Amino acid sequence: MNDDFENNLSAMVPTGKNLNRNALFFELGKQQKKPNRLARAFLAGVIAASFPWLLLTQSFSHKIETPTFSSAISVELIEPVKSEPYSIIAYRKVFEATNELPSFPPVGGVAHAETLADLQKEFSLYHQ
Amino acid sequence: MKTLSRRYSLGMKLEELERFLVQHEKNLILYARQWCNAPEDVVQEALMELIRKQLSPLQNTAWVYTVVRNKAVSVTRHSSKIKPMIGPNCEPWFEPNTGDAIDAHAAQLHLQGLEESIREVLILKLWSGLSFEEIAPLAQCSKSEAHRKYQMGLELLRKRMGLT
Repeated sequence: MNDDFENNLSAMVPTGKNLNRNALFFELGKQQKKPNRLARAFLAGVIAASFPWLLLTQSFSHKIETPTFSSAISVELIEPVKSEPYSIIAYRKVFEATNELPSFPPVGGVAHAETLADLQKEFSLYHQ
Repeated sequence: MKTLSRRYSLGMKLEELERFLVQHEKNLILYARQWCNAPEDVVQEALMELIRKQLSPLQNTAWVYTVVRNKAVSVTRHSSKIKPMIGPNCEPWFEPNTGDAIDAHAAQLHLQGLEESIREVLILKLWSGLSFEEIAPLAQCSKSEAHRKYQMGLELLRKRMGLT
């Protein structure tokens, strides 16, 4: 009894003017042009994974140039695993399978890098 | 991490948004109409917010309803419009009858006559198709309470419409 009544009620079509789809789609297009927070982290990871030579280079430079006294800025640069270089595709696969950013040795100063240029800029700060 | 991964997408898909609109556009408007006279504006704003936050609409349906509810209530508090939201002279909530078994106008009036919390549950279940699990936080009650309100609402409507 109630089933029929429920079906009849739910069959009634709510009124309402159509939403401004163009505005929604335009906003969607705008947002798609900029990566979101996790995409940025993902991108930073990809860059770090794809350019270990850069990290290594900087790591060696750092070791040479950092003064030893205690007030100096402490930057930890850790060498990536050489035997298992990540490709972008492999990195993404790990990301999608585990829902987590693949672990990669933390590198001080790279946390906010979003692009290769950012990455280079971060390192250049330590070599002024 | 879980929350973030839910949010993660390399861009909400256009088709996903379209699918969401087909499924929920009118239902969201009906939901907002309970509290305000400009339901389309409220829903539009809520969806803009969803897009800006880069949330998946299909995975965050309850979130959209929550935002719509909050905005609709807030708009009413600050609105100077005199048009009644409820009553015989308000905007029609449903399309005119096209040979349906239920008189849409009568159903609207009796629906409006229900207690707000019961009406809200009925709308979310019957037209929006949300589960009681999704309805509970929106209606600020437990899942079983939402179920109870739904059954009670149906019963009241049926009686008031003389469909025994």
